[in-house]
Amino acid sequence: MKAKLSILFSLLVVGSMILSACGTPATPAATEAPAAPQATKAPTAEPVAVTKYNEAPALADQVKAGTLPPVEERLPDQPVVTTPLESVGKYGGTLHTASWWPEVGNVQLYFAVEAPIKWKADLTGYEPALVESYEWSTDGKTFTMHMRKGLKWSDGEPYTTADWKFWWEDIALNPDQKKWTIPSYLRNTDGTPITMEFPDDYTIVWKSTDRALWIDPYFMAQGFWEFGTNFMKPAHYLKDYLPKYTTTGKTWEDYQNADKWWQTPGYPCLFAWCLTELSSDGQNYTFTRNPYYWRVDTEGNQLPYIDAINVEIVADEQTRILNCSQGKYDTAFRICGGPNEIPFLADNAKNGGYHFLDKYMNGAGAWPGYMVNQDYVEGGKNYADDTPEHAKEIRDLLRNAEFRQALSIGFDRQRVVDVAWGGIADIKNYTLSPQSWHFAGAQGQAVYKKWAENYITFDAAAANAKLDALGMKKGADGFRTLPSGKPFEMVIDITDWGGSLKVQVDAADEMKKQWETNLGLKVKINNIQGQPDVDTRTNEGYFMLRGAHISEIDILTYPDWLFPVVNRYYFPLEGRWFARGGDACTEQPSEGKAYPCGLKPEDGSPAQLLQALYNKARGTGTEQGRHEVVWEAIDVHITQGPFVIGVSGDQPMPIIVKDYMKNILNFGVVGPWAPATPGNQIAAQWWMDK
Amino acid sequence: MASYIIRRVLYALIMIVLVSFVSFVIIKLPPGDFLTQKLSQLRARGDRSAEGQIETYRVRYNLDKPFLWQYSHWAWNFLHGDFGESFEYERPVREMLGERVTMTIILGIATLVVVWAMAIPLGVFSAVKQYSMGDQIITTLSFVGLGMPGFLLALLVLYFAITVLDVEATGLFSADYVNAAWSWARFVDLTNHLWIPAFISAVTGVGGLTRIMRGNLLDTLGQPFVEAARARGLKNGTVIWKHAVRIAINPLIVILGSEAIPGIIGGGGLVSVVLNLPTIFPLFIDSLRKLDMYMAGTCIVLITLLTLIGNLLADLVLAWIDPRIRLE
Repeated sequence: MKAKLSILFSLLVVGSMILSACGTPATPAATEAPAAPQATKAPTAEPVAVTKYNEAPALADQVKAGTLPPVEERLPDQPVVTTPLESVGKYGGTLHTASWWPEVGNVQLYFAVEAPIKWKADLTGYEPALVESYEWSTDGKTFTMHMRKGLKWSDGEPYTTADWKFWWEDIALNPDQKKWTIPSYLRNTDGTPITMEFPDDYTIVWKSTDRALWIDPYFMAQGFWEFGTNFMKPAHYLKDYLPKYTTTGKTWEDYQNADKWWQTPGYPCLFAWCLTELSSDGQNYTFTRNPYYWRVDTEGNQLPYIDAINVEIVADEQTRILNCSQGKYDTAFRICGGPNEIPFLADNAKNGGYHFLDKYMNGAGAWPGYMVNQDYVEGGKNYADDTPEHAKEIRDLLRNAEFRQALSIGFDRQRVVDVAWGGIADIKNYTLSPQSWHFAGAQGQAVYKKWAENYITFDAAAANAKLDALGMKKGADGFRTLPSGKPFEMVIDITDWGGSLKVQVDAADEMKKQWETNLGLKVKINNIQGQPDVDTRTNEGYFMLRGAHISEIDILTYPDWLFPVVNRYYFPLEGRWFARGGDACTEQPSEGKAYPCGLKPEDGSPAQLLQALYNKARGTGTEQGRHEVVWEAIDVHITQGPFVIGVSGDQPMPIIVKDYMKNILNFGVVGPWAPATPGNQIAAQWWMDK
Repeated sequence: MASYIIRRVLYALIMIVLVSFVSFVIIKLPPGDFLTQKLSQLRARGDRSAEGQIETYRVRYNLDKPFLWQYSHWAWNFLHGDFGESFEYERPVREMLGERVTMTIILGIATLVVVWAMAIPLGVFSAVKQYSMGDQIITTLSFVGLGMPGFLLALLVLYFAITVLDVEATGLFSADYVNAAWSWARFVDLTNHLWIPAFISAVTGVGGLTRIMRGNLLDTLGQPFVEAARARGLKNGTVIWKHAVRIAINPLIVILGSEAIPGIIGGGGLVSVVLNLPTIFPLFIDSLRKLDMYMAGTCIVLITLLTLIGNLLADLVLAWIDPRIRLE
């Protein structure tokens, strides 16, 4: 018996040892021990006019071994000289950070943002990055980019118009695939694609037949997805996967699998770091320095300083926050929770060896804000009697400015901020991001102030007077009815929009309490977090109010928050009408889509005014002129709004970096993703002083 | 014996088909699918090409086909070793789960060893020294362990490890070893991390087993053959370990099959998520949330399979240890 038990035990032990020995390595490529940070001598001081170039020690070894051309041949003819923020750095080190989903988009924003055009570091506009320069024709219908001569992909192949031609002709215009379709900003007004011409190896010309392209090139600078995912196509590499060029029976599916630069090790890229390893379970990414990267510092050292960026996938937010508090990540943008996490992370900062970048804001124009659906229609099953007539009465109410103003002045914002935010937030009505470039300068600031302070003074008596004037009498249960006398329950949809379900739940509970007691409006909270119909309820116009997070820096590349030109937010169906080409749309209603062409804005309605202003902005040739049109549109929101009941905004965010990280700019806005922070700065100049 | 095993294997196959089918039905119940969620994410961040991409994915993942077609297509490929593609990761499920299955088994066995190595001596001590101070302490701790949910304990241990011990507590490897090939150093690194999940499972698992061991042994100690052994003048240790414990341990092996293995395989799910362990559970739970159908289906089948194999092994071990049991 004893013998049997001990055999059993040893079987367990041996079994577990065999299993651990059998475990295959996560990545076959990673056989050598991780290299220690290869910090070397600080680069020697040289005259500012850079004539001689230095490189990372690991690359120098490869040059010596003959496996890599010398640095002068790898750099473009005119390398871009980047002035370091604090100091010329030392080479070496692997930067560890995390993400929560396979696209690792939050890390792509570090460096995969150097499109032909990128955001300026202070977010006040755009500047050339991957291309040397660009210009528009006087009528704006032609846009020309001049590429950098001698710039190369990370495998040494030249980057020329051939790559653009490949993308445009073989991918984007190819009717056999639908994944990389031509976005609306590369189309003429009539919906046909603009033409793209390549007169020589380094010149790209966009031509529209019927509209100015003043704004459209800036789309390339938005987030990590517009350029990196859609336009960055190494023709020499991808041709092997394209059905047209191969005889090995490759399909479009094979092509799609290969054409993901952030998941395909060896995919040539143009950024400071390119993907070299991805563990077989998809949980660990390594981006290694691009030996052909085109920036140097003021002493001629080729960037980046940091050897590699390592990303682990940690799906659970609480686990990430704990890891952050322990100082596990060298840089942590967008992974350590929201404003309510700041006190906890501050307590552990000393132990964890990290500090906050305290000028990193969320950029929230409203967080939370309650969108009031201007296109409310039947179909949302918010009550038993879900008919078009009933819906129309509610829509008329929601479209009534007096009603929305009553909502906006009918509650005490400070109390909501205390409940949901522990007091950390500015009280304001909804706006774009306070840091938006439309608000730069004295005039912009005045517009911002007027908008943010519009209808925020709590005045229950005035609010009740407005509701009384609308004919909303109180019924038997003490709650106000619709003007017709039908009972009315105002449904507020909420999700974790903005990143925290708790904030939205806490805030909505407080809103319900206040609107019910102050105004006698019956409120129902509809928590639809994780429900697959969240989008349907918004885009088909089924919701009444929805808890939202509003933020945007450049409203012309992301017009959704100001102009009803897309199928979204608080003008979902009027926006759809504009996006589907207005009266030209002929699609017939189908199951679950009662308004496939949206709703045409009524004459003189705010939606009509705003759509006209959007077209005006698109046709305006100067930056200042466009800002002025934006201010005009904001004036519509001020005088005919509010369309969103903003509660608070401009919260700071917990962005932490280890104390040894150098050259990191302490400014960014992480709520909206389009401004691509921290990619507003040049991450290639970051270095580790350890 | 052979026919018994064959019969059990057949039952297991039927069970797996049923479980996988039912889980597919459940995943399909809510309105919408993975792509409606993905579309809203892409739109929310302002991706202008989202709508076009989604249709491509719908065709690629066969989400435009009827439910029964999807299930049978997946099941047929499963039999051929193709578990389908994870929607979220856009990678073959098989590739993603490869090392994680191994890790799940290692963790399960490590837990089992720790739990048993602690529960049996503690139970024996508790029974032999009934109502002593030691017994009272063990009993109290057992009830705490029984009552405490694993994930809560995991959070407490994490907090303690981070704020007091200042050690790295999540994952199974340090950042430097995650991608490394297996080596002695990596193994040491693994054991440095393994103690936390093992400790958590031990605290939650040991309590119950200790109580059972204690109760059984108390019953056995009162039996005439124990008296007889003592009367023959055998040493106390021999009486307890050779005569009483070998009888009292049988129910523990029954529990190993019926409760312990499923408990360890299934119950560790939330702990794995909290500790970010590279087992199949974090992927499983995430796939359920995202309606990532083929990933979730494969995880369920694997978990069922591991449980059924564990059950069968426990039954065989019991028959081997206790000659009175016949398997027919």
